[in-house]
Amino acid sequence: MVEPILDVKDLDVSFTFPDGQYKAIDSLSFTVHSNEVVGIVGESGCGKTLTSLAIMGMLPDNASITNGSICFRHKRHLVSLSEKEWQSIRGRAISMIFQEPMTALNPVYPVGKQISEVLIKHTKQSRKAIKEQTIQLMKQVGLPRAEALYHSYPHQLSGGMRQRIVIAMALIGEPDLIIADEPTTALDVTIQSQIIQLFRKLKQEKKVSMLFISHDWGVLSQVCDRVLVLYAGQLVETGPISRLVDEPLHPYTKGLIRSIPDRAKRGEPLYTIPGRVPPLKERHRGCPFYDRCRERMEICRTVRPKTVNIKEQMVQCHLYTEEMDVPSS
Amino acid sequence: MRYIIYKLSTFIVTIALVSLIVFSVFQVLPGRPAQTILGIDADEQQVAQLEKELGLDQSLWEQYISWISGLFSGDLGESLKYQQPVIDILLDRIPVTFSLAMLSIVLTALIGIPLGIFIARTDGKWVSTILSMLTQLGIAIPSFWFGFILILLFSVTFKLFPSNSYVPWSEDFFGALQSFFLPALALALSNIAIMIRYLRNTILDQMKMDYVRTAKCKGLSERWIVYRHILRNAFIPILTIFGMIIADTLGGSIIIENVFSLPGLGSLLIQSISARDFPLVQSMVLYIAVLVVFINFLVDLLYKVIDPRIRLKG
Amino acid sequence: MMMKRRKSIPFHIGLTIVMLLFLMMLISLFYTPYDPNMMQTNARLAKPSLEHLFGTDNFGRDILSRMMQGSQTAFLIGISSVSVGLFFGFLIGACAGYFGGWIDELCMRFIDALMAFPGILLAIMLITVFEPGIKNTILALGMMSVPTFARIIRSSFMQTKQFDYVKASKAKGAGSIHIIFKHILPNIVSPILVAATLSFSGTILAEAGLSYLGLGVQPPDPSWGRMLKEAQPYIATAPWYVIITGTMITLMVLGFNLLGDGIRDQQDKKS
Repeated sequence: MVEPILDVKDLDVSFTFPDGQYKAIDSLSFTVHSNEVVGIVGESGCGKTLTSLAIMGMLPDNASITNGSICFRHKRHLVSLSEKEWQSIRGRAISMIFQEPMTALNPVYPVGKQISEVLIKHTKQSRKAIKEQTIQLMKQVGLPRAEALYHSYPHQLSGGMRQRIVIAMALIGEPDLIIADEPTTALDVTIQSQIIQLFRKLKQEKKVSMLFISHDWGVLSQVCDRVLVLYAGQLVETGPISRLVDEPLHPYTKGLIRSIPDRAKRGEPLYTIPGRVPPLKERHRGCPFYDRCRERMEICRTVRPKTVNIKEQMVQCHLYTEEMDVPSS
Repeated sequence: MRYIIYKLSTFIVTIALVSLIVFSVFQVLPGRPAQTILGIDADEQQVAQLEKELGLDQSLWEQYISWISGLFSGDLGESLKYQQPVIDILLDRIPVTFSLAMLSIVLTALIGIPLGIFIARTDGKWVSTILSMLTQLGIAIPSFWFGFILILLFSVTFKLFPSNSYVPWSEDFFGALQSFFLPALALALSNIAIMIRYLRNTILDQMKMDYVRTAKCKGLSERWIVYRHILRNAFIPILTIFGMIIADTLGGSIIIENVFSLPGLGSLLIQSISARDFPLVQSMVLYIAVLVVFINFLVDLLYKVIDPRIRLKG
Repeated sequence: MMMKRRKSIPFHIGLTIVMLLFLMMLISLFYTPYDPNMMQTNARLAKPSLEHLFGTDNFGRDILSRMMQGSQTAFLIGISSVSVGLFFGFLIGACAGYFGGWIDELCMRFIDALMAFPGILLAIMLITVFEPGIKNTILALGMMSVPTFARIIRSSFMQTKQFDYVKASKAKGAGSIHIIFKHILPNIVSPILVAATLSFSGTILAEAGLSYLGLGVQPPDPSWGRMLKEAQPYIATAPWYVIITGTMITLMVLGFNLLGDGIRDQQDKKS
């Protein structure tokens, strides 16, 4: 098997509050391989963004990695790096795309310069070469008249153009891994599909590897190979996107899939999973989904389920055991 | 363009109101100015004659109009004490106050801006906490008392700077610089403190912005982020406070010039008040106030020039 | 919890300073170590000692007693000027905020015009015409804080006017006076408190400046600013006179500034 680009093992991320430490991410393990797009899905408060911040080494001051490892290209352990070492990784080895392109860009700095400063920081090329390369890339991500746009300010661009700038910013360092945190959520629908097309093109032509955070299954199924389902900081199910959509195993995944708006179900009220994600301070020993689960059993309350492999899927639920086949439901 | 027209019209209205306030306040003065000029011995006919010459027999409105039109033509009337056109006396004193104010503002920027950046970058550490407390003290200390302390320290004890000896620029450049340095520093103290606090708060606010997180994700160092990203954003609000600082410096120079015996507008103002030379006082007050309104107007315009977000909408 | 406590330290320092100065003022009403105006010709410019804690001035008067008496003037001028500023500021700000339109525009230009006189220039101009003395000092310094109060009150009026419950009670036919007292006033108490505290320290500084220039409080009324003026010629021979007097003014300004900042921080936390 080929070495993964990113290998996260047993990762715990905890917040420190005056009254104690609370695990926000609990024994999370997953890999991202070369030219693979891995989706992360889950309601807000499940630890999606926290996971990406942990990989970027940008956890908030009161959060820290308390256990586990993040291995990048098999050698660099992304835990316990100095700030200087992080700076050489960010933008060059791993880069990030944010949800809100307006606030992610500096409002009083020309957009072209915001892209090119990544190269100024990480390479020793001449300014002229860097500018040419930037304009080249701006054209590749679908920005017309890139030479003129180079000197414009974010407020002069449309939402879609801004997000293309942010994407170009993430691509210019030719990173091994790109983390995209809800990159299409803030855009309107037509722009959204254009940006999704851009991601597909980048995957095919630039062979990028990506961690793609979204709560939108429609978007995920268009760009992702595999999907991780996070609930309350734990990985409850993972597998190829098509399998998860067609045959979700975990009751939480089932709930998420059921709540996708569907043309066939038009007119019916949209399904929502009852209850809410338990707040950080109210999480207990057993299955994290116990409170909201429709198929819960007594054991779920006290014993945390083990991870079980079923065909290409992996699920953390007491309904399944290793030898079992997918139950016909 | 519409913005500029609006600002220009408020500028004109404000100037008109300022001049009205100054004019009407001085109307309250008891007694007749002509009598004051001529002395108590002058008889009614002489007084009436002078009043006619000075235009004081006209209605208030006509007096105001002629006073204002005098301002535009540079004719500010005549000083009672010096028996000279007010404009000549002012032109004589302006360079002193201008030098003092400029030096003070330069000191404010040179000391305040680096310190503001420094304590924002070291926020939470003890150096930063101590400096923050010192800024509170800097605001609370009366500038003229700080002037005394500077004289006590540098002129009396260490004899580094002369006190009470004004040297014009034309005579000796370094001597002039020396004679302006302590007063400028005394004048700058509270503005330095205000600058530090304001810059610190602005930078810390900016550090929470999303674009700073983006910049970090690009692998940029904190230094780079502060100087290339945050300061660009922070200097726009700083400009507003600069308008305030200039006005403050002008106001403060009135007292400081008296402490250090500098022959500028401030000491002239106080001398004229004790000499009851009201035409001179009136013109000076108006002159300073109009200058402040004008500076604020310039700051407003400059604001639009340097902020790219507003530049286009204009 | 830790954070909260640490943040309010400046507030407590400010409160302590203000309380101590206030206490000093109260005591001075009944007791001062010496008669503040008693001249001891054999003890001119005496150094601080057990006999005279802060030393004596050029006439041999006890500086501590004079400082204590001066604190009465400081509090009197501070409180009265802020009240004057608040009164006129309220009138202008309320008119501007309540009526809006061209009245608002005119009021704001008037405020701009007042703010065109930097520092103590406005007070200097008024005192030139109306003669120095405690009463006119109070009025002149009060004018200086009119713009601050007017702006706060104007924006509170404008904001409150937008709230639905105010619109509703207006629709029900409630009178202007009723709306002002029932809905608007309770909302502006705390920002006014902050502004008043900060204006107080501004007034103290301005009074010191005016009195130093000889345009503020006149003898025989005691004033810290005028004491500084009297101390200036003896800066080389009796530095403590200058140092003690200035420290006192600084302390009072610092105390009120810290207090005002502290109250504001607590409000920000609440909202």
